[in-house]
Amino acid sequence: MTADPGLLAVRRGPLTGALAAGSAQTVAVRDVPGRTLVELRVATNQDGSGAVESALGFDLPAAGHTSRDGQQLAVWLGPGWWLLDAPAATGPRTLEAPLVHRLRDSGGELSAVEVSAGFAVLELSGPRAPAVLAHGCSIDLHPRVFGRGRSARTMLAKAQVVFALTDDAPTYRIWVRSSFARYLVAWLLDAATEYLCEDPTRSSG
Amino acid sequence: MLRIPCPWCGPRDETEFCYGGQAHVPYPADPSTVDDADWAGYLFFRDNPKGWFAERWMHRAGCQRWFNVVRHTVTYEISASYPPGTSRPDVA
Repeated sequence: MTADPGLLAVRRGPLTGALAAGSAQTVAVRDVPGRTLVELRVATNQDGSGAVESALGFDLPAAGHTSRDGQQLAVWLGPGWWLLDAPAATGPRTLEAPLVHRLRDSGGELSAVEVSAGFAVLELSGPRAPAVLAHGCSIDLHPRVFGRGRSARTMLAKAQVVFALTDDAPTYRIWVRSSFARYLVAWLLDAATEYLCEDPTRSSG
Repeated sequence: MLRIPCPWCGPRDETEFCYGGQAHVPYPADPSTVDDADWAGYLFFRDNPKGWFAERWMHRAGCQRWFNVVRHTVTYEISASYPPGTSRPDVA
C-alpha cells in the first residue's frame, strides 16, 4: 500500500475545524492535523537502537527527552519505546519500511507500528502555556527542570498524554488518545480562560 | 498522596501507578512437586510487616514498567526504587 494523495487530502483529525482559540500574547491551543505517528519498540536486552538510528538517520532520545531531525520528532515513552512524529507527506510507509528492513537484516527484536489514527496532536503555546499545563499535571515545568527537548508521559487532567517542549515560545506538543482529544481540549480551554482574559484585545472592553 | 520515584521517569504522583503487592516472591522452581500447603503459601500468603517492606509498583500512566520499591508501612517513607530482576538494595 502506498499513501494515496487523495486519501491524505481528506484525512481529518478528530479536532479538525473544532479548534482555534487563544492568542500568541498569552496562550493558544492549536490542532496539528495529519501527522504520521509510528510507535517503535526495541528489545531492551539487545542493542537494537543503533540499527534503528542508522535507519532513521538521527539519534533516538534518552529517557525523558526528544530528538529531532527537521520535521521529524522522536519522543521517549519508556525503556526501548519511542514515538516517532513526522509530517503527513512522509507517509507511514516511508517511516516504517526502512525500520522493518533493518530489522530483517539485524535479526533484532523490534517492532514499528503506525498509530496515526490513534492519537490527536495538539500544540499549546505562549508565555502562559506552562501555567495552563500546571493546572492539570504534577510535572515540574520550570525551564531549569523541563527545558527544550524534554518530554513526559503522564496524566494531564484525567487524560493520559505525552507532551514535549518543542521550542522556547514556549510551545508544548501534546499527543493524546483520539477518544480523549475533545475532553482534553475542553479542559485546556477551561483552564486557559483566566489567561485568555489577560489578552489586551479581549479585556479592553 | 505518595510521590513514587520511578527508576526511569523520576518521581511521580501515586495516581499514575498500580500496586503489585509484595516483591521478591519467586515462582516455585518445580511447580509439579509443590504440595498444596506450599502452593497456597505461594499464591495467597504474604508478609505484612510493620516497617520496611519491598513491594511492586507499575508506572501505568508513564513508561508502563514494573519495578520494586522499599517503603515503610508506618511512615510511608520510600528508601529505594529499583528495576525488577535486581536484588533488594541494602538500605533501611
